[in-house]
Amino acid sequence: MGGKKANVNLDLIDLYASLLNEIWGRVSELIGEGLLEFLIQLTIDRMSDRFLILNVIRVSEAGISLESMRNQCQNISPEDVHRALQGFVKNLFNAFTAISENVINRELFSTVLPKLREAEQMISR
Amino acid sequence: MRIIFKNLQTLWSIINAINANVELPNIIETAGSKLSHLFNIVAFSILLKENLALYISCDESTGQRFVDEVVRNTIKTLVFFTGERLSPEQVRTHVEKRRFESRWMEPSDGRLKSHISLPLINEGKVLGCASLNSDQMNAFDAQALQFFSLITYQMISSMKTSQVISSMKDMATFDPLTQLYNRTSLNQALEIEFRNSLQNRQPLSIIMVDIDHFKAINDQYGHDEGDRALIHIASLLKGSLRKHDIVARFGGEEFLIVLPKAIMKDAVVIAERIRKSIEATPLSGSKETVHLTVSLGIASIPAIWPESKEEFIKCADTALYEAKEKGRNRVCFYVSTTDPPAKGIWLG
Repeated sequence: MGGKKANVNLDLIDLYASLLNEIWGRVSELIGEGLLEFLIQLTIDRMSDRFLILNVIRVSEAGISLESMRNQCQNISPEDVHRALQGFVKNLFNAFTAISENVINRELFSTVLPKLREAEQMISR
Repeated sequence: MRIIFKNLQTLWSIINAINANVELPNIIETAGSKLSHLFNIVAFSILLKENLALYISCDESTGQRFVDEVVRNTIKTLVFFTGERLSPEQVRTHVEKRRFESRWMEPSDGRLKSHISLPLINEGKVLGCASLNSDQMNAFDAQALQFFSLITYQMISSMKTSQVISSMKDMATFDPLTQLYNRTSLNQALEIEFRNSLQNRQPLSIIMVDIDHFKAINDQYGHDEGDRALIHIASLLKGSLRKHDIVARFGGEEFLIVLPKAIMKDAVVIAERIRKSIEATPLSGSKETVHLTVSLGIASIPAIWPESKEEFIKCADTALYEAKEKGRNRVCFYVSTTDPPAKGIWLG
């Protein structure tokens, strides 16, 4: 894969890493680190059949990390990286809806939507 | 500020109350009665995955439609987190209605409008889920979610303590192989029944049961098959008894059955039923079918007048020895020629 695409991938991963860290910070205040870790791991387990790259996301009570993804995305197109991470965030929101209807999502929309738009712009450039 | 402080006080009191209980029904009752002081709810529900029991604590005015919606919604949440299929028919629902003192009475059509449902997670495993349920739209905000999370974490912690205590109780009470009472708990139960019999002048019988040729089963088929034979017999014994009878593994291949309020005649009927049931139900082994029989010895108050429970057991053991001597697979009962006749009126 060319250097330009590889850089887009790294930018995308940084963007989603920052988004997920913000989600972690806000949601762990509401439901605690233990439950949030469980919800994130559940989402990874359910989606990694479709998007193998999600398997490298690491989550613990200390937080969430996409660090390993930076090294393993060389052969994946930016569109696929974006699709995998966008799907991951979407499914995480479904888990939040299952436990609290829109209480958590309401807290997050203002943070999440601009970043998802920014990710889409990166892909379309 | 005053409201926040009051809410924190209430939260603290709920957490303390949950913490003070180790029995699950008490934890649920405590939580159910206090949660309405903190949240705008009509019902609190908790569904446990292990035994598929759903407990609902709700306001006395709650209609059946609301309860049904809570059942469906709580199950749906558990299914979401476990990925396992579950229908309302598989769940045992316990509904407890009580007056929710601080119920915020807004007009309502009695439908479930909002909920928070948190999974109860311990070491990555889903134990169940707990829900707050309201008939108002948007009844919960971020603070409610935060408070309910703290409460469920405390519940999980109390449930863990409850499970540890319960498994310790089980270890101290039951024989690990057969899941019958062990000898220690048998001694305690028999002591109570023996005293009760003498004080209230009620009959009491015991049956000592021994598997015939058990050593040969172990020698011929191995100890695993011997263990399977013990489990098989234990299961048939449990199935042949009345509700209040007690059966325990006495040691090795011996079992002791305590029959409160049973005279000799009743005990003989029960012993014969056990003998026939075991004779008619062979043990299907991995290699071949093993036919088992048992010998049984009965001792009965007031037919005899033992001075202690130890002497009572010895009488049943003597009768068992006689059954063995006479060719096994039979029932014998102890008759004393030296005991004085029982005095007074005996009931039963």
